[in-house]
Amino acid sequence: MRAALTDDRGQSLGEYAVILSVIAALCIGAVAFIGTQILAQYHDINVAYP
Amino acid sequence: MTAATTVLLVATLAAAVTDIRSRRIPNALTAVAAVLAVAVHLGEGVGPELAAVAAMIVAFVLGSFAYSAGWFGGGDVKLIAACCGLAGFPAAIPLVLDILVAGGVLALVAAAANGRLVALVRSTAAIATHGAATEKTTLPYGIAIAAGSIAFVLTPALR
Repeated sequence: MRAALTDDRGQSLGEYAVILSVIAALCIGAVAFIGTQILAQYHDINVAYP
Repeated sequence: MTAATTVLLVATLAAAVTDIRSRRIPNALTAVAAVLAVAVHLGEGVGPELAAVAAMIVAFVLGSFAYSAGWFGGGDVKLIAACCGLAGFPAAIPLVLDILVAGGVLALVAAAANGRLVALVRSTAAIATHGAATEKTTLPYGIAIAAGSIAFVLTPALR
């Protein structure tokens, strides 16, 4: 952790950038999908209790 | 645009420029960004202030593991941590996701521009299947941090 504090290199490995990018895109997609589902369920509950 | 998002954009764009020129993100730049990350949340109360500092610390600790593994440069790790502090919590999570997506796009575009797209895909597939790259392709990740930050600030749907 101390090495990371002093090192100022701004270059990262492209291969890991691609892998992390795919994981991040999957996370965004999953959250968007699940978020829509949860919103729909809340709407159903709200309609059921006038 | 808030003070935090303004500092976020200015700091990341400055970092992208230095990264392109010298493949370095100066410690002075990341230090100023980190100090400003603490300062811009001062007026929001104790909760948001502590949450922003916590987001910065967590991002740095997690980034240090990636640095130790050789995935990221130290300048990238500290800049991402400062960006998380500027965004605060929970906004730091979509910000990091935007940066990571931008990093992948940057890697693919840079590889395609250099005629090394197939080599990058093969090397990435080798990591996914065998845990080791067939070659190492480096890129100035400061550009991805700036691009992800711009997407985060300008696209409310991504927040």
